[in-house]
Amino acid sequence: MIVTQGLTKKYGDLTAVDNLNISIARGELFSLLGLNGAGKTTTIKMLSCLIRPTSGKALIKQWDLTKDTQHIKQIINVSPQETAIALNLTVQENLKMIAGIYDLPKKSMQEKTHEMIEVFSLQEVRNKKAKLLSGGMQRRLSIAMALITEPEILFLDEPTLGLDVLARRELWAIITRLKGKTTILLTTHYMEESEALSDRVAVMIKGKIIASGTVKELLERTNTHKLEDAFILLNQEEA
Amino acid sequence: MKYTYFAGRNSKEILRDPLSLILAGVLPVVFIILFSIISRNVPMEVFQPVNIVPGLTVFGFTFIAMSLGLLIAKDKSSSFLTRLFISPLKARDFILGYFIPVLPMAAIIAVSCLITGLFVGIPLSAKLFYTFLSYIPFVLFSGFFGIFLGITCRETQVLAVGNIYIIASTLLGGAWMDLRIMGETIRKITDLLPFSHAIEASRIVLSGRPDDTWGHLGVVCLYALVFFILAVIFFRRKMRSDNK
Repeated sequence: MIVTQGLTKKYGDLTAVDNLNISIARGELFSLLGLNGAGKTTTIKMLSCLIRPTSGKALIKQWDLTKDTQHIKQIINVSPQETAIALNLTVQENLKMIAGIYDLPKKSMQEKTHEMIEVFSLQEVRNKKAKLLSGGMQRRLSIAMALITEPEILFLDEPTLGLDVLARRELWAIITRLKGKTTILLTTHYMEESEALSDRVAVMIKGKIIASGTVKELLERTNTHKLEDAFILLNQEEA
Repeated sequence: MKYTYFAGRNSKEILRDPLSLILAGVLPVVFIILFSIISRNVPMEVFQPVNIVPGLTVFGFTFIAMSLGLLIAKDKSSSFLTRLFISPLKARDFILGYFIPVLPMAAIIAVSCLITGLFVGIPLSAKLFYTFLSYIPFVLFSGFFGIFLGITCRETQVLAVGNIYIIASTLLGGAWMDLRIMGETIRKITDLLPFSHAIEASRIVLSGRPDDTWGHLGVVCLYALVFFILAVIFFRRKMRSDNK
């Protein structure tokens, strides 16, 4: 579903993403782990057509990342790192707006809006302006806005940042239900999150992927028992 | 018709901000009433209803540019616009989506000012309708200038530039003062700007004077076209700005 070959992004002298080669199968949940500034968000920005790569290639489904952006944009959606909602619109209006922008039919728009409100437990605040919601609820709405379009590919950039432990577990359950149907590229700082959700994991350091595989494979390779220990060891080795 | 959903959101954002509504919709009406009272004691030509109504309507339109500029600047500073840049919306959808809310807002300002004009002495005639139409070029200019302002400036800069723009439009447009008293040099400057032309064109239409309206409207149309082109160029640049 996603294949990159030597995908690179440079900002002047700084190489944010360096020769990225990944292949993500349809319905797979692939996690990118890395410290701040490792290049995770830049990777998502490139794959979501927000910024153009400096060099290299990427295919999203059968489409070329730099040539077929309109096709790609129709089948992807993103939950950005920061909450991305229209503050003066109600919860319901936010969801319907995004559904409309992605051309969902009217009937489907109603159904999906209702479904997202149920799934993300936003029933009590459905007619409340987004600016009046708590931070956690705003975050849930922001993620619901990424899911309402039923994207074939979903980019989740640190989706549980700022969520309390219960909301985080609820979101994990939602993500787990998407597995197999939606191809997901997840970035996170929470190792237990990656461990619980991912089919495969890649560790990124200074724009490069230094290790990838299933969690089990990474643990075996580093001779550790926890992903966090494996991650720290890989970072120390690279340093 | 993706842009209609985006335009709907922008309309709500602007209309749900009570301050922008008060400034754009209520302030010109209050000023028209105030100047009509003053004109009873100070019988100056510029304070006559046929002159003051177009002047203050154009003054009301200048708040549109400010509201739109602020909305876009706020969107830019949050991740909301990033989310939309990833969506299938194209640059033209963004321009349309931001511009469409200007139309009902401008219509409200124009209609409320013209209705107030009826109460302060403007006779009911077809001229009111033609005056309404004569506002269109300046409304186009205000919308495109607002988009240009929002996409090129940060929120605080929009506030600063917007305030200068509003003051300049009233002083250099002659909304409630006779430009002839400002001297030849200032007069030449005002001729180069769209404000006095927009006001003068509507004054000619409303008063039924046999003067040339099209020359004045042509200047405003030219400004609208220039800022439309600038808005498109800078919006496209913003959509690709992370590539630098």
